[in-house]
Amino acid sequence: MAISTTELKQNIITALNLQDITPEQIDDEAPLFGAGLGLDSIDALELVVMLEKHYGIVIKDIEEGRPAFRSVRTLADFIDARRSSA
Amino acid sequence: MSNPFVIAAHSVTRADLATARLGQRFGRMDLTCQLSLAAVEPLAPFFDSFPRERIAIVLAARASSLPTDVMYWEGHNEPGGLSPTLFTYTLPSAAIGELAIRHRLRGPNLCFVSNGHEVLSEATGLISTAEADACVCVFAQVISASLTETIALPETARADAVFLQRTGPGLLELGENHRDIESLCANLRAQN
Repeated sequence: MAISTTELKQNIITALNLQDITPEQIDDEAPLFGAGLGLDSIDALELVVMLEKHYGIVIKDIEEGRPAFRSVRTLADFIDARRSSA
Repeated sequence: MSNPFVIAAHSVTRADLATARLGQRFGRMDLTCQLSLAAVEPLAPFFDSFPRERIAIVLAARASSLPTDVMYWEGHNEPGGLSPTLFTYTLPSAAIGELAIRHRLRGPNLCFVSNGHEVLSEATGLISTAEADACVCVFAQVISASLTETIALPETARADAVFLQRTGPGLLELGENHRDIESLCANLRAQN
């Protein structure tokens, strides 16, 4: 079953301790880093930890995760692809 | 040269953090940083009287970063491992960095692990030697429940902050009897 982007957004909010942001306020297609949600490199590492903790997905090379971290949509697709190939 | 003047002072406890909204970074900070930022926030309007590179920061952390160090280490058995975010707060000087980022302060800074008794005297030194024109002084006390026996201090979470500048009048001129930032803040609260 495909991952719910709402659930993924909630996990991102919780993992990064984002204040005053709800899943509904995050656009599926908006950039996670820079202009979009405004995350930084420490947040990227925290997302790597979150992926292993919640989805059992291990990213050993940050370059591998870079395309996946473009947006919530690309991250959800990445999780679905990893799960289906496991 | 005369003593610096206390322009403003503020103290916070953990209870004050429930309503604090101090930017997107605030939620991810450790308790020492959150308390330090919340204590300093009401002092910020006074910063505008100075170039930001002329405002120093002197901070003392009662238990260094030990409460955060423990939290960080407790994560080593968690799936995914240790928290990268928490790691960045495993230094007592992290609060100085967060204060500098939020208020764009670029003056000199000093960090102590102590009971806070040297904060005001070191700030006075920075101002009297013209290394700074003003100084943000912070004493952060964070002792988590798990540490009370180890370091023989009661559980606490509070921060006291004072803004000093070269000229007055302000609230008072710093004197020989004002060497302890915690007592100074308590006295100012009592007067109000």
